Amino acid sequence: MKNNTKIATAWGLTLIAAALQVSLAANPAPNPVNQGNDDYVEYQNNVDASLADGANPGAFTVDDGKALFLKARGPNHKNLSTCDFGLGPGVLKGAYSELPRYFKDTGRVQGLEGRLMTCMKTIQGYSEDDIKKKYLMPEYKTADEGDSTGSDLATLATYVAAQSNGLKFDTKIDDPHMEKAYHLGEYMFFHRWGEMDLNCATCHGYNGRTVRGVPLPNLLDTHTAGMVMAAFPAYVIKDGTMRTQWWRNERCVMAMRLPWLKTDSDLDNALTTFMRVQATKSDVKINIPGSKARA
Amino acid sequence: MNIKPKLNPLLHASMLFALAGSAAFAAEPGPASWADANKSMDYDTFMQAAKSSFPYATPEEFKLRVENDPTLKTCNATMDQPNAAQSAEIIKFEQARIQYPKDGKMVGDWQQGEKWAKGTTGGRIGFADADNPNLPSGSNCFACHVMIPGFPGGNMGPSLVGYGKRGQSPAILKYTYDHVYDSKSIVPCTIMPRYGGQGHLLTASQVADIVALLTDPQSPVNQPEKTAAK
Repeated sequence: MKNNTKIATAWGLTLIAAALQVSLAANPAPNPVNQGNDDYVEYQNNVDASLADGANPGAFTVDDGKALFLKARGPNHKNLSTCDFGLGPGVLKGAYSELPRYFKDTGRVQGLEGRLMTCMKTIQGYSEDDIKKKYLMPEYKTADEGDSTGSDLATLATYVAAQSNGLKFDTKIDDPHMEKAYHLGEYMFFHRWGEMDLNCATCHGYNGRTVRGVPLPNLLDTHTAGMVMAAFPAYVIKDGTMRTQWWRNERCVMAMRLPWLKTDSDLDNALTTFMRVQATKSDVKINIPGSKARA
Repeated sequence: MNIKPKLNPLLHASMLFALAGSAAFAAEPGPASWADANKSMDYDTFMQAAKSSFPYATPEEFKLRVENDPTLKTCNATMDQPNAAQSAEIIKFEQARIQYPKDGKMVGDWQQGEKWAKGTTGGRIGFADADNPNLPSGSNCFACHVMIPGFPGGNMGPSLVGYGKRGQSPAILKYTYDHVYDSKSIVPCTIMPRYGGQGHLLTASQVADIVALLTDPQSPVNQPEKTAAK
């Protein structure tokens, strides 16, 4: 009963706030959570249906990723089977569902791509420079340009992420590092910057918005956030290859005409943390490889 | 079963403060909001994170693209709701930024304008998919606006189909030019990007071409609906 009163009060305040918005604001306030993002959900369900029943080529990447994960590589000639993704060395089941998290060995909040690069350095012996050339400054092309070569990092990430299939996200804000990452990510989501004066919320903080007629996901709607997060690493039809969450973050950052976002940088991890916390509030289960039409 | 009690924000903050000294504390974030973001993080700390996250940007790129100019600083701090004094300041600052074509003509070539309006590339920097800086930029007007009947457009801005019915008086042309070149000189914290000038996508003559696309009676923007493709 008490809760109902609270909800009623909250709605009352929301309505008053909404009324004020009309007269005062150039832009409406972003939607509260759980209000439905139906056009996007329908659009994305159609994309998923087009690659359903084993038709998602990303399934091959899960196998490729496993082989690569278990292959001895690098100066140390070791595989990645002892890599610690947060649940202990070599524990893959469920690890992705709790990322990003704080890692004591690096002293940083990291996500999946970052953790893979850390293990390539610490276990396989790759140098900072190897990683930089290979993954941080990628010169891949899109399918449109006739080259759909994916990256090793995306292949490995697909395999590790798929070991959390069927689980919900459970990213925990349980220490000051994670708390800072969350607040950096939340600030980034709403902060207007770049040559286009945009923030993430411009396109991804409202229901019903479209770009060129294509419905956009509202990441403040926790169900939609769950759908988006649970799909990456995803098979991107336009590119004909697998793309990771970092790639998804960078696509928007690039469209905002910000500089190139370094994979596993503080803002990359912060933004992912923020969105994973939204996804953690949903019931959507991880389903790798997901599918995306363009981005 | 929900074991974590929902706390009101004030209580929540004081609990956090009380628990900060102990090793473990669990802070379940409330609903995300711009207000919460501005309360929990500050611009300088954020810029520090941006410095290390955009390591490949030149100092000039960082200044033009990453740091906020006075206008965006105000828009961010007020969550796009500047007060009257702040609005006046923004409009003054932005009006002073606007540069007009050297020949003084605010109307260019609508066919060129259609090219810029439909163009999706330009101004993207970094590695994969970065644009050739020697090519002119598009402004991707169709991302947010429906402009030509039958050609897909977005809905973040109003439909501009039939914009030319306003005529081509000097006042309309100037309003249109200013709005494309620097929307914030008219609506202080509008979500519409500023397109003209340094640190933005279009040149003055490209803006004039888009003014032509919008206002010329011959432009596809101003053809009757029946020409719409299926």
